[in-house]
Amino acid sequence: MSQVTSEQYTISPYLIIFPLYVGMVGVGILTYQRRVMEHAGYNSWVSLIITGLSMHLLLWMLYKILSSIEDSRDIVAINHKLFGKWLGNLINLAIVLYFVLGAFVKFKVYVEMIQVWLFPSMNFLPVSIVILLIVYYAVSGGLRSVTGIAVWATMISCLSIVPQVSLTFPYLHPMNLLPLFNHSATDILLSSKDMGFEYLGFETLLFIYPFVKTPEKSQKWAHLIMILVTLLYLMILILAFMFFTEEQLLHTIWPTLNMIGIFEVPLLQRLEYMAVSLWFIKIIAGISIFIWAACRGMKLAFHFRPRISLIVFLAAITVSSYFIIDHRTVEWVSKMYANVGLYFIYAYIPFIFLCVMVRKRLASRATPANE
Amino acid sequence: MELRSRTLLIVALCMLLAACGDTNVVNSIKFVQTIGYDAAKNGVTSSAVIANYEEQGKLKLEFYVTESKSVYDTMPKLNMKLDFPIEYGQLRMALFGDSFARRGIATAIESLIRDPKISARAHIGVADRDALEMLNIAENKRDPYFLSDLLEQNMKFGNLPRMNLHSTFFNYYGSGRDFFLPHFTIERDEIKLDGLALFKGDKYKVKIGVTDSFLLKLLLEDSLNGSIMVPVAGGNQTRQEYFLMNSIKSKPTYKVIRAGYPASIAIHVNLKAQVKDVPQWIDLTSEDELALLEKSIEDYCVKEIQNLISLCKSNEVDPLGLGDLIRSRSKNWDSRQFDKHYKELTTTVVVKARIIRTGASG
Repeated sequence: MSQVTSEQYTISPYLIIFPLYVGMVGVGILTYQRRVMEHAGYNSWVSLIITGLSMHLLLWMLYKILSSIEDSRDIVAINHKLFGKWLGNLINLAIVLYFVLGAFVKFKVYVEMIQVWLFPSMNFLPVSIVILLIVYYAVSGGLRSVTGIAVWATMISCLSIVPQVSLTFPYLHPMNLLPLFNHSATDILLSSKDMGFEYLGFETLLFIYPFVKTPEKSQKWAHLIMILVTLLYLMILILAFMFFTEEQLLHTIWPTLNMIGIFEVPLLQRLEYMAVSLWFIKIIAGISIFIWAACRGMKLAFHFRPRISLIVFLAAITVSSYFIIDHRTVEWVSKMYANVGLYFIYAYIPFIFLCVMVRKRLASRATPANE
Repeated sequence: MELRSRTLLIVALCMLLAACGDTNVVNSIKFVQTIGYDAAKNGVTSSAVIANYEEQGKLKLEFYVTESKSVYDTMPKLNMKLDFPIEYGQLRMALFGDSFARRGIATAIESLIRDPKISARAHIGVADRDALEMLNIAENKRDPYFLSDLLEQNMKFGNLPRMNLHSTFFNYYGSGRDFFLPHFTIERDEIKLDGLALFKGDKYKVKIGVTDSFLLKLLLEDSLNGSIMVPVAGGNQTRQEYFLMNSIKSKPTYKVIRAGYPASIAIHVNLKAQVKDVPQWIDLTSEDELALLEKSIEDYCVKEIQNLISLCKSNEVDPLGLGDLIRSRSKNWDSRQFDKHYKELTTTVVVKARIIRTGASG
């Protein structure tokens, strides 16, 4: 399988930060505080830092995996090399489905958010179709157009979230963070695990990598965005901890939106509604990057035309989101996705990393012997 | 042809947009702007003030009362009396009657905060009689937001500490904290703020006056406003006289001396004040007499703060969040343990007052 990606489809190394950002930060940033603090309470900002560090390790592994074997620079080819055609393709199919599931969760959670905050009694089928048509448009343009949307999404999100959240300053009670360490190490690690879910999405790199012009140079940018995402999560988490008391946060379903809503600006009385609407482009970008990865996987592994698999995936998402209507099922699906995702990044990636390293060691030992 | 197809496309897209929203035209819905809750025999009486925007600039307030089993079915019950669907996204004020507040308001405020339509900045308050009666008077004001504007104004420029739905919830769920709400009374057929209602859990326990509410503001935030009358005695005066002190800025600092039981806390308040209206025998240009005024402010505030704290202790309410302060300094904190020892808690209060403005003469 030749891996040369022609110049006109590649993106510059620094552009990698945009698809990675929209992949990682989704609707989760509006609700994650409650999930993260379940075990470690108000000490869980420590857990967040631990998770952030582990993500850097995984990212480093990803780059090692993708750059170690000459001519196989995406996960499909690596799976073929390591496990053979059949088993390899089985794993590839699982990865593709995993990305489709990720796109579905992103989409459905956002739709739920609109239903709760903006239009409770709205018929969602036409809107889903409109949303997914935009996704179709973005993905059929290839990675470059997906990256283009991601740039806008990142800019909007940075321009809106940070100032909005800092409007809460007069209501902060720094005392809430004290005492600093009153939870056990186990609790803190359990919270770290829950936090891992919020980082899912950077593994799209497994498919993006060959599309980066001089991919080795993009590693520092990928680490940079990882640091920024960790800082963003950390800032919003600590602000929420100072804004809500522990018990109150457990009763709050959308902490970030409630924080935004405390401030009154002229003309716009309810800032949180604007935030929900601004989120739209972010979600489009997030879904696009996942769907793009899935289509790419289908093409590499099974030689499906991307246009066809794109239509199939989008139709599947529309239909299943039409039939799944209650919150409990959505919760269940996203829990499942979170669990699968955690195994994917914490078990599969290190495993592949080991395999690739062993293979490389064997190969380097074999070569001098041949000479 | 080109143009026509483009127009068609635009029209089609517009229809797509219009199909999405739940359209709400302002005069085909009923805005509930203020709502009152009273305890009834078996359930709750709710009264809603609804503004009717008949013509531009003209406003008629309508008043609807309904009885229901609990606060949850207030809105559906009210809908039975209305010709247009009810909307409460603009709800700014919920008022609780005295007996309702004493019975506990948790269900009511929880249902308010759970609704994303209701802003966390909405106000809640307690009336010294039935909310129904008080809202009837508010109705004469021809302003659906009269009560919430009254509160807002007094938090900004008066003696009330900052409160809204969010801060009430913060204190309600916060461990080692109790919330407080503004308290209304009626004087000469006018609504009047006369202090704060202190709550224990979700039950109304005791009322404090306007002076105490200023002290609470002093102890909780940087009171940029608010004024109290301070007694001054000195010189050859036999009768005690009062002068008016305006707070310009203040900063409270708390220090935990001992977190174990019985706990001990030191409170230090830095107060910058303006004094303008003083008894005639005081000369505001004299350094000594300013020092005398500062001393009287300090003594008076310390004495009154100690009184306020002992009032809180004897009623087992904790609006200052002293329990929370102890919590933040101890590894294992148990609210029941703290409550048991709350009465033994000792506080030392130091107030440093500085008069930085004395009106025109200073």
